[in-house]
Amino acid sequence: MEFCYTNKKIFTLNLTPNRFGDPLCVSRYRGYNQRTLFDIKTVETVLKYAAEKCFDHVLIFVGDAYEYESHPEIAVEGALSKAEFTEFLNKVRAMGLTPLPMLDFGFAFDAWLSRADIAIPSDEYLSLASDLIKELCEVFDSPELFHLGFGDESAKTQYVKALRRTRNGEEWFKCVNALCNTVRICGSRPWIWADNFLLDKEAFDKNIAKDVVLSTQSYGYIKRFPNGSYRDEVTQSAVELDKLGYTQIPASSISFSMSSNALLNMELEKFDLKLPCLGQLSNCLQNCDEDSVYELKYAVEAYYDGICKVFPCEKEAK
Amino acid sequence: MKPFKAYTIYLSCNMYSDVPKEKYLYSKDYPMEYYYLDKCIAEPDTFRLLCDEAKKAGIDTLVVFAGDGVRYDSHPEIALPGAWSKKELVSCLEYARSLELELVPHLNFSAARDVWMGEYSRMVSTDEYYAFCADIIKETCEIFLGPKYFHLGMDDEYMEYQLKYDYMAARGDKLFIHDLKFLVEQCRKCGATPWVSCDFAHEYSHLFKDAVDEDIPVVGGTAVWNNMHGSKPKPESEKVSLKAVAGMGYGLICNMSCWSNSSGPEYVTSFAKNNLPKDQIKGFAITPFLVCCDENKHKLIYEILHGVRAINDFGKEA
Amino acid sequence: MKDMMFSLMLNLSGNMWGDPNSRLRFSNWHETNDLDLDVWHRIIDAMPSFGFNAVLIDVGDGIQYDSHPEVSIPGAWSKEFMKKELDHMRSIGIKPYPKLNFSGGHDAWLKQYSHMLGTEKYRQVCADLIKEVHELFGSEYFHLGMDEEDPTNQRALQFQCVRRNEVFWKDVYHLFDTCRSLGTTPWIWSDMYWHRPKEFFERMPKDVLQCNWNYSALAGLPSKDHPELALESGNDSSVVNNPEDARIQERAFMDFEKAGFKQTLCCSNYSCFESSERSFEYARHFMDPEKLVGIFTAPWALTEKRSEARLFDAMQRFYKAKKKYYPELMK
Repeated sequence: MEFCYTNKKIFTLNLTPNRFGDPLCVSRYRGYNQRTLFDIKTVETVLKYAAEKCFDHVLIFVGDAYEYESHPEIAVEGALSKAEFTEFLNKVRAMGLTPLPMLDFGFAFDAWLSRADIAIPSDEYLSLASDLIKELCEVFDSPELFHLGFGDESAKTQYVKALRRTRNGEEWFKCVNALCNTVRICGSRPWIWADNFLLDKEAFDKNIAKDVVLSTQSYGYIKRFPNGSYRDEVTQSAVELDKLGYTQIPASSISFSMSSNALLNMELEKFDLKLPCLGQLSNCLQNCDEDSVYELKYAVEAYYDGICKVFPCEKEAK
Repeated sequence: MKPFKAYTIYLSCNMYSDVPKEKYLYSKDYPMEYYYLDKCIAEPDTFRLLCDEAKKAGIDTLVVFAGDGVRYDSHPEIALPGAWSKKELVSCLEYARSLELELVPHLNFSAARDVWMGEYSRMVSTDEYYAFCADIIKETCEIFLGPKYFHLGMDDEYMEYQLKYDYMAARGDKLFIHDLKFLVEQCRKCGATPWVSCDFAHEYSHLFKDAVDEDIPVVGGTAVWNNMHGSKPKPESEKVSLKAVAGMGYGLICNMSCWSNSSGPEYVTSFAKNNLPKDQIKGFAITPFLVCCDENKHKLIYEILHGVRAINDFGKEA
Repeated sequence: MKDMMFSLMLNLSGNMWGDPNSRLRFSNWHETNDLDLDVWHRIIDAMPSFGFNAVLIDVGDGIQYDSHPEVSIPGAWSKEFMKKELDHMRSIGIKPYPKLNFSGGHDAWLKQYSHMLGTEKYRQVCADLIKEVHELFGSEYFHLGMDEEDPTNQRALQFQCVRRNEVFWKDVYHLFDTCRSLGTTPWIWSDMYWHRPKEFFERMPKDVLQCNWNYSALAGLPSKDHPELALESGNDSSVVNNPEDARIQERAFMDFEKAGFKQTLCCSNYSCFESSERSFEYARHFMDPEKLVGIFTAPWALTEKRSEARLFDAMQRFYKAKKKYYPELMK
């Protein structure tokens, strides 16, 4: 083995096609789809490749690609039934990967919820969300972590949507904490994006419990000032969250023209974070369709390259 | 020991643009003396006149920039039409010596100030370039009869300072320091202690210390007197650099000029008084940036008088 | 429909970005030729099935030059080996075109000669290298690079050099004349136009093949398939080099056509998912086919194992776009 890194090495698999645009949006590339776009053969090829290289976990953004028993209206055509999904998860485990569930409830990436005819936000919404979480926890067999999304909800991230929504701080914290509690009740640990820390650091620290795992999304070329602090506030926020006592899983991506982004996020963990991270997440934004197989493999390669360079093993003397 | 008072005489000012006035395509308000002059207009009579005036005013050191204003035996190809013969230069230097003025040769090896090198300015850091520099330093030391000091320049090597050039070049940290070390070595071989610019001392401090021995005086101040007109990155960075080299224990030479405003010399002495340790200030150098010819003589004498007045005031307060 | 070039850009050498000891963390200087031959062969052999009929090879210091062996990198291919590879490409229907980048920002491969821009010696060396490479390739176009020769793109290099006005044009005209004397057409990156459009039109000869590279979703250009393109694009196309000429990088396609230049389009998977499809769409629907020589994709990845997936991804996207917009040219 060329690296010595025992924390979780997590690969993102997007099963839902509906992360960006809502049904009324006009985007051809990030628009809404009435059926799933993933290709099961591609999924298996990519996951096998990921497992062979270095990954040991896969974060599956399920969204509307699953036929929920509690809310069947959510699933799109091609969604997997419980039996099919269970079989799929078993295959994933057989590859040596531990599956983790994700449902993104942030307004920028919740287009998969479009079919649910409910007012957002509302108690009905929270109730629906909780039902979905509970179902997935069951089918994933009490996963260690459950990613709830809740990233940046600004207009910039919702640019393709026809209908954009936003929550003020209080409402956002209320939603997040309600769903985090649901996750805890199911025996899992809640996990969210750390984007909103930058909106109000004090309020974030006060309202988000320390057991919630956070992921900064520092994509692109991470640079520092001469004094060592990071030029971009997102990466610097990881250092601040670390000081506040949060557990983190930094996320990297090749989807923003920086093949060395994974390496840079691993260096962030190695040199700047005092608390142990739970792992590193590779977040390739592509759907897992036939067209994306090379990009997804490229994401695997970039992550592996980073981990070998940042956490190399000492060669044992013979 | 009282700081010395130096005055700089230029046989050529081909250090600020490589474009002659008639072909100049940049902003038309550039001072005449900054265009490339394709002939030597320096006059020995003016040289002697300036020596007299300088001595009268109390100057004790003469810094002489020959550049392409003299025909070197080793590299006659760089000489301008009308350039002085070696004999003419030697005769003027003898005159200066007769007035008990200490002589310091000056050639600027900054990639932003080396147009006087002719084609060699377009061969920076090549074998041909190093051979040229070695030859020219050796021959200059012979002409100056083994000077105690040699001013190497090495200032202003920023691309931003070459926006009036058709050929812009600058060296990065390691290459700059490598070449600086080489030039220092060439001076030492001839028995002269080099003077070098303080630029980059704070940016490359660990490299700077390696290249510049403790006994080498460091020159700075251009941006200080140019305060009202200086453009980034120079003014603030030079003040920082001067303080940085003072902090490293180097001897300091503050240069000054009325070129951009008549209070330039006072700015420099005021800055020195408030920021630099007095025992480290070796001297002040008046730098008029004008070729010594009859047309410029009044401005050149003005510089002497103004500069000396400011230096004397500094001496009184000290 | 006339023949068009559908090409992939591959790197034989990686020394077009960082120079020795540069402060670039990535894309840095290579002491030896790190090209992975297996990856190279896999890519080349797969190209016909992805719809390519040409390859643009960034040669640099990757071959053993006879005229200037000091330029070649340790491990550089011998000319015999290069010829063998080129013959193989031709045999599978892939026409090779050479590239030597003479931009002040991308010429570290020239070794000490990259420090001699604007001199007679430099011009002589460039001519010698172009001649040698053309002897191997014998192609109708020769790519000379000439992109990004500005201070910003060189700020991490140990040696930075920018030519302007007479100094620039003297060198560039010499490169063009050298190409013409060998019977090949000079071909360049056209980003100089974005910064100095007036000078570009006054001085750029019309026979030089232009390439206004653009890796965005071309959000500022018309689209028949994507009416709300500006919304769709994740790239902020309002960020341009010359604020007075919004989207000059995109308008350049139209400007070049009007001015009578022939051009190639260059897309990439470097920074934008949609680049290939949009480039093909724009070319098909809006460009004069008589003036469009071809389209190529530049993944900007070295030919090594860790980049193989990226190279195949670029080919895949190109293939889909070509199939959609030039189906009659698919074999």
